[in-house]
Amino acid sequence: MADFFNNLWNWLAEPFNSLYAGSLIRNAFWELLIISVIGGVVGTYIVLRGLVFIVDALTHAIFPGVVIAFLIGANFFLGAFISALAVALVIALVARNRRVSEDSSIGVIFTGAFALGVVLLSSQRSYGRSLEGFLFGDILGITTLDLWVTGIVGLLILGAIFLFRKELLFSAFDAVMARAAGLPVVRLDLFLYLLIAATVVVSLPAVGNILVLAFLVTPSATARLFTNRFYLMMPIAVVIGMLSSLVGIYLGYYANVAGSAGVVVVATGFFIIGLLVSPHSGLFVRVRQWRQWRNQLRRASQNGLEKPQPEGRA
Amino acid sequence: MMNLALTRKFGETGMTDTGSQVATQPPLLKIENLSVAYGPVLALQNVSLTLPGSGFVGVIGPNGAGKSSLLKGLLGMVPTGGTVSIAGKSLAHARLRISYVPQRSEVRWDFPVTVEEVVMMGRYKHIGWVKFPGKEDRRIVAETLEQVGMTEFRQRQIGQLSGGQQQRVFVARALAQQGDIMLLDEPLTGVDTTSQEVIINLLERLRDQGKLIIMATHDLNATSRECDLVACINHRLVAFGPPAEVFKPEILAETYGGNVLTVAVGNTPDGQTVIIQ
Repeated sequence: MADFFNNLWNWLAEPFNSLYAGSLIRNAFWELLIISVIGGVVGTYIVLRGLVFIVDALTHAIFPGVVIAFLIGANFFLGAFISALAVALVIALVARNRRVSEDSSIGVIFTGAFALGVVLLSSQRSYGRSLEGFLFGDILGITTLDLWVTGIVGLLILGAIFLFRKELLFSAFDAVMARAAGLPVVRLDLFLYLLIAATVVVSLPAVGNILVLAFLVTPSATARLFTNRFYLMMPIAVVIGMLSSLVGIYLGYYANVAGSAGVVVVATGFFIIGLLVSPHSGLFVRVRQWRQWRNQLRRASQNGLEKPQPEGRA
Repeated sequence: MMNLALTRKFGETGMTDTGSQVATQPPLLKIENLSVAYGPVLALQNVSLTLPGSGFVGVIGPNGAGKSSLLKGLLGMVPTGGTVSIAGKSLAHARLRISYVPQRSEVRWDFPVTVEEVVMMGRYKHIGWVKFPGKEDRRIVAETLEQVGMTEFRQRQIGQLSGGQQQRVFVARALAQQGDIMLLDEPLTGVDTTSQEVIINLLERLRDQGKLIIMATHDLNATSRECDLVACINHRLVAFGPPAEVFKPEILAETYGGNVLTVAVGNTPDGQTVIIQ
C-alpha cells in the first residue's frame, strides 16, 4: 500500500521534477493556474451577460495587432493590448443595442480582421510555425517574465472587479434599472470590456488566439450548472479551471498531447459531466422529475384524481 | 392649440373632494414641455404637468400612447426635450429621490441572483462605490421584503418565482431606494390578484406616508378607485385632474380614440364602470 502511494506520488511529481522539462512545466503550471483564476472570475461576467460571441470576436480581432507587433519587433503585450483596447471600445459601443444586422457585422469584421492577421503573417518565412504559436499558444515557452506579467495584470483585474463588484453585478443583471438608479452603465460596460481584453491579452502567449475563449468561458459555464449563486460561480469556475489545467499538464507530459488543447478538452469534459449531473438543470434530474410526474399521472388516472403539475418552476 | 388648453396646472382645476389635503402642498415634480422621440418617431409631445409632493397619480392611455415614454423621460433614460425639476432642482441632482419599477420583461430571469440580492441593488447607490452593505442596508432590505410579503422567498433565485412575486420583488427594490417619488410602469399587468392587492395596498400606504406615486396602467378600475389624480396620455396630455373630472366619456373617447362604452355599475367616483373597446 505504501508502495502504491509512493509510486503515485512519484508519478504525479515527475513532470515537475523532470531534469529535461521540469522548469518549463513548472512555469506552464503556474501560468495556467493564474489564467484559471482570472478566467473563472472574468468569465462569470462573460457567461452571464451572454457575451461569449462578442469575446470570440474580440480574440480574433486582436490577432492582426499581435502579428504586426511581431513583424515590427515591438513588445507582444503592447501590440496585443493596443489592438484589444481599440476593438473593445468598438464592441462596447455597438454591443448594448445589438440587433441581428449588427450581429452579422461583428462576425464579418472580426473574421476579416483575423484573415488580415494570417495574410500579414503568411509573408514570413517561418509562417507555419509562428502561425501555430499564435493560434494555439506555446504553453512550454512561458518565461518567468511572462509569469510576472500575467500575475500582476491578473491581480489588477481581480482588484478592479472587487472594487466595482456591486455596480458590475447590477448592470449585468438589469441594465435598465441600473441606469435608472443613476449608475454609469455605458462606462461600466467599457470597463468590463477593458478587463476582458486585458485577460485575453495576458492569456494569449500560453493558450493562443483560438483556445483562449475556452479558458474564459468553459469553467464559468460549467460552474453555472452547479450553482444558482453569483458569487459561488466564481470560485467554482476557478477550481474547475485549475483541475482542468492540472489534468491537462499530465496529459501533455505522459500522453504527449498539446498542452493548452489538452486543458480545453478536459474542461469541456467537466462541462459535459455538468450537463448530466447538474442538481437543478441536469439531464439526470430532469429524467427523474419526468418519471415521478409520469408515475403520479398514472396513479392519478387510476384513482381518478386531479392531474398533478410537473415540478420545476414554482 | 388643443393640448395647451388641456394642459392643466395642478391647483387650477377645482380640487375639492379628493385633492384637498394634497393641494396645499408645494409642487414637488415639475414637468415642462416634455417631449420624447425615438429616432424620427415622436412618442410624446409637449407634456407639462405639475405634481404635488405626495399623492397617487395614474397615467392612462392606449398601448403605445407614450405612458412608458413619459416615465422614462422623467428619469432621463430616453432622449427628451423640455425640463423636469424635482423640488426646484434638476434631475441630475435629485436622482436618489426617484425610484422606478420597470415593465417586467426587461430582466435576465436565469441570472443567478437571489431575491434578497435583487432588493439590495436598490441600496447600491446609497452604499456608494467600493463599500459593502451595512447593518442599516440589511435592515431596510429585510423590512421591504416583509412589506411586499416576500420574506420567506428571500433566498430564492429570481427566475424561480411567479410573475406576480417577481413584480413584488421589483417593487421592494424600488422601495429600498427610499425615494420620495416612485414611478411604476404597468405594475399590475399580468400579475396575480394577490400580488396586485399587495402592491396596491403598499402604494396606498406610501401615499399616506407622504410619497408621490406615479403609475402607468391599463387598469382603469384601479385607477379610478385608488388615484388622486389621473393623467390621460395619447402622445400628448389629453387631460389631467382627479378621477371624477377625468373619467368622462368625452375625455376617455379622446384619449382612446373613440369607442368608449360607459356602464353604470359604481366603480368610478360618479358611479360608472368604463369599458374601452
